Amino acid sequence: MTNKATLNTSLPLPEGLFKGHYQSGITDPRWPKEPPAEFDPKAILDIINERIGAGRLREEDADILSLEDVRNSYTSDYSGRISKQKNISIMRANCLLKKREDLQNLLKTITEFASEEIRRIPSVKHLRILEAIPDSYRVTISLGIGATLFTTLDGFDRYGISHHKPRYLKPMPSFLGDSEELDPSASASDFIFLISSDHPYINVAIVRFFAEYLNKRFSKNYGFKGKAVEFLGVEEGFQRKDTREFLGFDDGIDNISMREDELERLVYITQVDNEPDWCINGTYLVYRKIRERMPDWEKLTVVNQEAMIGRDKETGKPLSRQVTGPKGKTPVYSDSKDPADGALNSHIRKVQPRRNSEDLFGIDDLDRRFLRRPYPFFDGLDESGNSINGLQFLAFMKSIQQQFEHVVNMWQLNPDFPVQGAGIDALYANNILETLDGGYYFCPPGLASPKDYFASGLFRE
Amino acid sequence: MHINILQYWQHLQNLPDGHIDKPSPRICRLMINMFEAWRSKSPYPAFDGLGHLRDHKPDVLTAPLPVRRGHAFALTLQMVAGEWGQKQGLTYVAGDELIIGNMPPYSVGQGKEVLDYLLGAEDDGEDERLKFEMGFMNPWSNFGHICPNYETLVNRGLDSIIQECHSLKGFAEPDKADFYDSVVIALEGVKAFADIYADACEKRASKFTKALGLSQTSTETSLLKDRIANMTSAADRLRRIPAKPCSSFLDAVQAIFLLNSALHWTGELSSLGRLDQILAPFLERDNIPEHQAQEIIDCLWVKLDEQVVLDNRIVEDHFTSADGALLGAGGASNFDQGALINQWMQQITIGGCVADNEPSVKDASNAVTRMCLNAARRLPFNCPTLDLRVHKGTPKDILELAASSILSGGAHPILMNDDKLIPALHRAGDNVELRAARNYACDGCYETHFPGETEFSFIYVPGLDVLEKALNSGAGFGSSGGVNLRGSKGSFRTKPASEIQSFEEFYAILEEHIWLGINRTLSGLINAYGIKGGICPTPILSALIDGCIESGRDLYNGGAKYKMFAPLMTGISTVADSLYVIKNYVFDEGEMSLEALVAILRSDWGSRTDIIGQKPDPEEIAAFRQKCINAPKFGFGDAQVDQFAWRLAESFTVAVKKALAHPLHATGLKALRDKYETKIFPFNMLITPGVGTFEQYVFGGSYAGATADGRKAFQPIASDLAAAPYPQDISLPDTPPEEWAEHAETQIFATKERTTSLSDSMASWNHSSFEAFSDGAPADYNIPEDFPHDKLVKVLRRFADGEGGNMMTVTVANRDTFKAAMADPQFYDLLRVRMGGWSEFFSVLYGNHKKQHIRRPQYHV
Repeated sequence: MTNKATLNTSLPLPEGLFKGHYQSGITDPRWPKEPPAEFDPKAILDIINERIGAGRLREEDADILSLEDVRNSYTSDYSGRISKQKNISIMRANCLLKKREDLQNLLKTITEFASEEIRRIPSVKHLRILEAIPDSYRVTISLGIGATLFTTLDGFDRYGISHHKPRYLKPMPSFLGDSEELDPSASASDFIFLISSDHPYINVAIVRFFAEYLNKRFSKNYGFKGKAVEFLGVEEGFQRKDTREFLGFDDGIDNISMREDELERLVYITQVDNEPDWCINGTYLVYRKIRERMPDWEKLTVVNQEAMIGRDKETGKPLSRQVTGPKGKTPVYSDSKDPADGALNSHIRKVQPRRNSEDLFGIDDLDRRFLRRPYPFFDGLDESGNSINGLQFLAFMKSIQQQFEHVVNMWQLNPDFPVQGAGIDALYANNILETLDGGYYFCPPGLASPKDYFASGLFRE
Repeated sequence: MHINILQYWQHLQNLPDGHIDKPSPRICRLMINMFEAWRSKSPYPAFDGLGHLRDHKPDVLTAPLPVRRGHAFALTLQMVAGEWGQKQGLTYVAGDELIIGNMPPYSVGQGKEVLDYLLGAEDDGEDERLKFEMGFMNPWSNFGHICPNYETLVNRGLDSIIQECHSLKGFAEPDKADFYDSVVIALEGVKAFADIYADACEKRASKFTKALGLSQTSTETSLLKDRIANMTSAADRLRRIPAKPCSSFLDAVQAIFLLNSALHWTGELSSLGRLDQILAPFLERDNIPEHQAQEIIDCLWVKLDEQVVLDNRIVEDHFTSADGALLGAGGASNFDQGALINQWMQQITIGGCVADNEPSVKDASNAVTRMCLNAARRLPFNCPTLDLRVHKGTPKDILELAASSILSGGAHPILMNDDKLIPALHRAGDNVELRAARNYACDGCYETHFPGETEFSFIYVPGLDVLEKALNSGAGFGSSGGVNLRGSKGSFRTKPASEIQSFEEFYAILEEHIWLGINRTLSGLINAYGIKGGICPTPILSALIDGCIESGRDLYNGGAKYKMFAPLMTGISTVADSLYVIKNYVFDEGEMSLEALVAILRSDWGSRTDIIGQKPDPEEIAAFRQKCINAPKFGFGDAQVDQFAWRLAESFTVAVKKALAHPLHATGLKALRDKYETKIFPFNMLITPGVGTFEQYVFGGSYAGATADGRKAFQPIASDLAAAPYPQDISLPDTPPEEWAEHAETQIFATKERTTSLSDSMASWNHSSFEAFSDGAPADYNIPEDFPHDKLVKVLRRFADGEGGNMMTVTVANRDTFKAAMADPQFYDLLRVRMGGWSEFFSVLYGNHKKQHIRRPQYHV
């Protein structure tokens, strides 16, 4: 028996490099708001029932027992949500060029490379006959630019573009919970490439292509002698088949989506955002590599784990007395200072207090949300034999300052929020989480046509 | 006390709604964006980025220089507000702003850009560029440091001044007609500047209107509606003012800010004057709720503070040889730029008494005074620097607000005593109106002048210089040795130390050197007077200075009603501390001969061996230095040593007065009177002595040799009239033994903490000789963070009632906080200190300045 019905619902495809206002790989690929035509609730229910019948799934663990449950699940888990690719490679690089025109040409070359890789059709040569090959590996290559491209850490505007710097772009500062070895300004880079696809080897091939051939192509195209780009290393991330990550809890239950038409509103810069014009339809990227210390976590009882997260481990439901949203997974806090709805330093209460009134800045707590596009990572074992694993936290937003930093500084790591002495986020307070690396970037808007190139707005005077 | 931005926000978040320290959401949004910008490099026009007049308007190159300058100003404003400036991020409009406009990034330290208008070798005519630069003057030489008459602006509007110029031009001689033309051109430029901003506001409103149709949440909708209304109303306002008179409180604040920014963009770093007196009538007329008026004041505060740079690695240096040239200095200007990174001269003076000629004194504080104090307390900025005038009749709540502001960590307001300064200013010349003296305001640091009617400049009279010259036969110790043998000569060759028999004889020699210095200063001033008018005229500022339009003369060409020049003595505390040593240890106790002391100072306390004359024994030097370091110091209420500061002050101010009356200057002064006196305004050369290093306490010591108080050569001196800091090469009394190694070379320690209570210390400054310092002589204090509010209020009351000097400034921070801030500047990004004339962020200071603040004495409760 196969899960044919599921397979019949094909995965959404990326928008492509030249088709949208926005860069591909940020809010796409994305599930449609309404189920696609091939979505067959009955077939899915049949499969679930078969799994229960075969003893692979206990009936009490299955939260889908009716056609309505199937439809609700689409609404809850897919509708308007990002359909992340299975693998990500995060590659950072610095620009070694000295002239503005050279930078412009480099960006053209990067676009050319990205375009070639994205358009590549999966090869069917040399295949064994039972090997299934998709029509697309859903490759996206997104480019982020660091503050150091605009001005070096000592204030030098190498390319005469500092006046175009996106307003909230800066080297990432230090935060509580950072690893002692982390010096954020030292890990600042000019570029970040997010390479995503549904197969790890595709990622490897693209990373290698960039690392080994970008400089050569640039030299060949523009007669440049020397290296244009220095690659600083590659980070990898993967996706589990279920919705959970290492800590065993659902991740992204409350992630923003187009279901409520809030995805683009909270992610992309618009003309009213007081950013340079070229930044419109661009977005900021916050990258944090967060280690999750499993031995410490796994020592805790489930009850303690749930108290730290603020959700029931099995169902993903919040510990609040009132809930809302599809499947009742969204908490309602009648009083953000009342611990009866879960410990005040629990993760979900510290990162989204859901207060009823506007804050100090006249902004709703829910408007502080941003799009998370995280991937678990595994880097092997440390000297003590403990696994080095965690989350490649990638988040997109229209203002780092008003979204990510507000959440982290004013709520999550503020020991006096929501009340004096509440403590910082329990996951950081108990050293379950530790940030190993990261950076702030700006992802320029999408490309208008095949003649366009990444960040071309920087050169429009 | 606010020490970092993050803690500040967290503090505000925990305040209940309606708390007096909680700014409105609009202010918070504006502030958070501003803080973000503080961490980045400000957009700055490139070197010569504004170009030359010949690039933009070649047809006016043949016009007289003042007319060219008018065009240069108008073009500058058009460029910066227009597409050129917007593309570079120099100017912008944000939807939340109630006050529209942008300050340039030009600080006194980082320098400015001006649109050049001088003829060069490539033009027909005289090579003005070369000619002026030969005399250390250029288009950057505008001095700023002056308050325009903003009452004229808000009550009359620019159109009325333009109209007046047109009328007067008809009867004017050609050079005066040129002046009127330049004013009209420049003011039309300011009106166009406002219009461009109005266009930008309309564009923003239109963008918000489009977005309103797409808005998805009620918060977003309400924010957009507010922004549309705000931008529309701002555009309407800017179409009306500053051309027309202001009709509301917001109009007046907007007009003042816009003119302030126009002046700064055109290179005139001016201050804002008695804001509370100018705005109060509008507030009374408007009758708007207090929170609304406070929000407008807060918005102004934000606008004035947008150009902060928190990282001294990313600052710019656009300085030229003659930026802000001091009249009569006769050399390159070269201020201590590294200490002036965030100094824009934007002082606001509040409080004090009513400016009238009535016999009785009436307190002038009002609702706007209190709003300014609220803003200074709850907004953790360094600018505007607030100057609070106080007197016996200052209400208690004003002093309470002042104490709260000081304890919040901003090192302001500075306090100025009206009862001491007004009589001194009134006496500064024959024709000073009492009204003018009662209307005094700070120029850009703390120097006093009469806002809107004064031309002002100052010049330094280094106290250490006269001390060295008295000891060393007219030579300084700085370059003693192989280069200048006994030292660099610069004054009368007076008796060698070996022949000086008594302290009184020595002091008389010191007064001879003061006398020569003052006469040189006065001579330089008389000879140079008026030259800037032919080089860097200032038509916008002149339009707002009483006397200029009436006389048809530029501010820099004798147009102002009052011409005020302040010789400022520096290093008084170091000289007083040294005189104590000389009098007591040399002449009275005979521990060492004066000749031996001179040898020690020439050798820089033994560290320089390649010198002429006696070579003192190193052990003897160390022992004597230790004794000098632990000797009583000025500023702790000890009359034994304070008396030397009082005497020096008297010698200085008497010499100034005497020099003005000396026949040698009579011809020069008469020539100036003949040239500049008008029927309306008698010629007034007001010489207002004061004490001031401002930021130059490092620079002021950097060329001076060792001093008898134990200070080594080239080390900083005290700021202003403060007590001297501990020398930078010795260990502080609270230095733990494990840190002594740092000072192993000298093994000299300050074994006694130099301290006393803030109240007791006031006796040091409470002397009639200091009251002649009409330009101000601030006592700069450091107090601990836990200084109780009620105790500080009591000290401020005593100061207002006449104890202490005529000015006092207070920095709040523990020595440990400074040390921690040196180690982790990011965490202490809001720690602010008094730089003499204004407040600065500690983290942006360079090392020597940081050390100075750590080494200032701390005064306790």
